[in-house]
Amino acid sequence: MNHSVTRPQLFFLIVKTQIGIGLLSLPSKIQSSAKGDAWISVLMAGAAIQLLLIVYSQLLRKFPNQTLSDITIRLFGVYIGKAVNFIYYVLFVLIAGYAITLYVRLVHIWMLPMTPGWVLLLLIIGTGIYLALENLRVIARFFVLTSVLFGLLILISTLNFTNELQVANILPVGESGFAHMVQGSEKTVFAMFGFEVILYFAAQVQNNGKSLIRVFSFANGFVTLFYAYFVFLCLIGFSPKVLERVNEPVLYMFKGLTYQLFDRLDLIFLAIWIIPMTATIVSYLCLAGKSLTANQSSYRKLIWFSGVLVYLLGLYLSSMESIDLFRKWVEYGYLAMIAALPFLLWLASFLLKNKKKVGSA
Amino acid sequence: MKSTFRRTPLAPQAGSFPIALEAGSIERKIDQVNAYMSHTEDLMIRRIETNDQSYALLYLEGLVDKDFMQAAIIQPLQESIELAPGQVVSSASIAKSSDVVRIGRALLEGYCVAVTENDSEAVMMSAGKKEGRSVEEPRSEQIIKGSHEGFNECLSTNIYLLRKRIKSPKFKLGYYTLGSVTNTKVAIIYMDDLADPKIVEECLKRISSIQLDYLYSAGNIDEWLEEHPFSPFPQTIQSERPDRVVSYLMEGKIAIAVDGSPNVLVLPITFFSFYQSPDDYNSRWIIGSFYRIIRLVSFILATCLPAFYIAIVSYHSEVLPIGILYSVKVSLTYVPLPPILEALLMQTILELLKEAAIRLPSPIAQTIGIVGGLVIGTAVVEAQLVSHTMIVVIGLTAIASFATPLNEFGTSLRILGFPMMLAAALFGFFGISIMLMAIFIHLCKIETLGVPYFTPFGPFKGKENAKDMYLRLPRWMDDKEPQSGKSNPLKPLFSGRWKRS
Repeated sequence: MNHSVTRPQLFFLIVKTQIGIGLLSLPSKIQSSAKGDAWISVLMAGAAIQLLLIVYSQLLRKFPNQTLSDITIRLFGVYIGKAVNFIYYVLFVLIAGYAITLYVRLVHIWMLPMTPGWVLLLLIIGTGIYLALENLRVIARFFVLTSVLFGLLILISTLNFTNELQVANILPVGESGFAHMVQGSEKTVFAMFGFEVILYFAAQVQNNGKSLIRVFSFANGFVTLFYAYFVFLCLIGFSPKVLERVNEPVLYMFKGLTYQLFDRLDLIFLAIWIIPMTATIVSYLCLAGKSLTANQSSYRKLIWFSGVLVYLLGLYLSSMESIDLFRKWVEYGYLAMIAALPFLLWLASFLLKNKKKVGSA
Repeated sequence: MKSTFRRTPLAPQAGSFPIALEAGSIERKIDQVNAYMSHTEDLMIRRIETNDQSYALLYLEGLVDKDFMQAAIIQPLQESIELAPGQVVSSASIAKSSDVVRIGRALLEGYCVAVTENDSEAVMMSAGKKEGRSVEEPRSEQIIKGSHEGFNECLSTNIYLLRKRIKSPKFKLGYYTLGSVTNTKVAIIYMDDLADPKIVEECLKRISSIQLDYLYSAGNIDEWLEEHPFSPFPQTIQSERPDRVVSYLMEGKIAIAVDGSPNVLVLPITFFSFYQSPDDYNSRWIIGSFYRIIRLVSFILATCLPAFYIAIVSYHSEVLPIGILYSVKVSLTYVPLPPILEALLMQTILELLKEAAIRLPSPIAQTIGIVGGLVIGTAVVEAQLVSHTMIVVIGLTAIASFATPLNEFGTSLRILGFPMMLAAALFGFFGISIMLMAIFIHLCKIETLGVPYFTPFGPFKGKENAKDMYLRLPRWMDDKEPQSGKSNPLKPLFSGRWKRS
């Protein structure tokens, strides 16, 4: 059976994976370093990712129809290649576990303070596995379907314009200086993780012989603007001092809105936001499966196994007092694996090309 | 694709061994047929003696048209001189066989069988009677405007109703005989040029694999064909409306008609087909689209409304502003039951009322409606067993679920409402989100005969299908040419289709 996906589907696969829990607390995180220029930091992060995406597309063009795990095996040989893929697998599971911990924590704080964490974890992982077990085409269908909700979220967010907004908060533009902005964009990149799905999913795109860079760029552009828009809203909606203290400013922003029929729009927003957050988990489970196997039946087994691993990891991390150290290690390790290593692979592919033609086999 | 239909009623059937008719006296032959038909007493034998021949006509009393037999078979045979029955009889279908099994089958089809002294082959002449309801409007799928014809229990009438609407040589029909005891005739109908050959092949393969003794109705076949028996969503449409089935046939779908059942099965079907009604096409497109949207809203209402209410009153009452919250909470103050039990109770009462009223003659059903709806509804609130708001919520949910054009689908929706309510009672909005996600993942997952169930949303086909799915845009906006499927360069533009000169 043909399990390929179309280009628009790839677009939504990327976007849905990237947009997730990171955005909710992003504005206050960047604001602590970049101040009023936080929105510029987001754009800079988008530009940095764009550079990386160019490397990705060059790499993928050299190896059409191959996922990252195929490429590592080709370039490093079977043993080292498999070891590298295993590192990827571990990282995907760790990232999924980290994301799910934040997710459960968020639901705990905002929605269900009394429900035990393990039940929430079970529900999320259960839904995640239910979808991740299927082939990529089905996952893409669901992602495309639920992308309608982004429109709804943007619609809800426009309600904030009725609030008192202080455009002066972001002025003067560029006040905080370049170094601070770079610091801010570093944090943004972590919140934008998810573009690396390209390395695994692009291989399944219909006639991917043509360059996919346009799809990548559109996805990146969309995510960057989406993030910048929400960061911007928060910057002009909160005074700088408040913004530093609030944990999830994007949600908090909606708390102030009140209407005749409805209060607490933040809860509605969060109820919708649950879907992109779960989608992120699904993507990482799927990546974890794909990083080690290409065969559908072993993929299914691996998804079950990784699901259990993520569940246990989530349980463990939820019980920890602070996961800052864990976060730091995972984030930088992950960044190295998805930015530095593909770059090296790309360079290595040049060396290989001198010896034998790569794309021929 | 080669023709896969082989089993016409008079052809030898695979699996049954032929029993040769013995040559010799007429009595011997009659005995043999009689024994094969278990000496049933409605097997009539009429002897005809002419100058040179003696015949015995065998037929099953209830199945043949006696007037026709008298005029077209008995009379010519009596008057014939030295001619074989095949030459004088004016029956529509005549065949010869010396196989008792085939003769038996012919008798059961309403044929009249003539055996003679010296010929070992019997002549089978069609003389079947057609009796049944006249063509009426189906009760379960009434519409306001448009055709009021409905299928009935006679297969040939049903095929007539379809053929009358599609006068095309591409209208292809194949007969199958299902049920090893009942030998029910089943017709598989599709447009040869429009239906996807792969889907047709798969469907025929599944139908020929059906092994059962007794075929009740079209619903039986549905159970054998569907791929996801544990899914709450129906994967075929059973319709009693010829116009509906015709529109599906023209979309390249397959219709299965079963003799004795007024429901015609259509497959492969998608989610949005359940929200289309012939009414949409018989009125103007704005009205059609409006009602489509209303029906799609009803899907969300029927599955989520009680859950939403439960989540709000038990977890997130802060969502309501103080004014509304006050009136809701006041009505809840003296209610002893938790909201989930309240909702379950009311839903159960509602289903009970519906189930009780559905089979009663309409005057009694009305009484039940009054007693159930008004008396119980008012009393339950006055006794403070259930809150006012809950009655409103459940009432709305029920109405929303009845708004689907096909009753079967509405029931699935109400059933889906139960796990939804449970999730809401346990986890509030989070539960609703997770549950909705699970439902939509399920919808994206299932496929019927290789066609994704949630087309065009699942695999997003954009403009191609959207025109007739969640909206009902004008027919002329369809930029495909009807026959060739090519784009029409002379397509009239949106504005000024017909200009006043």
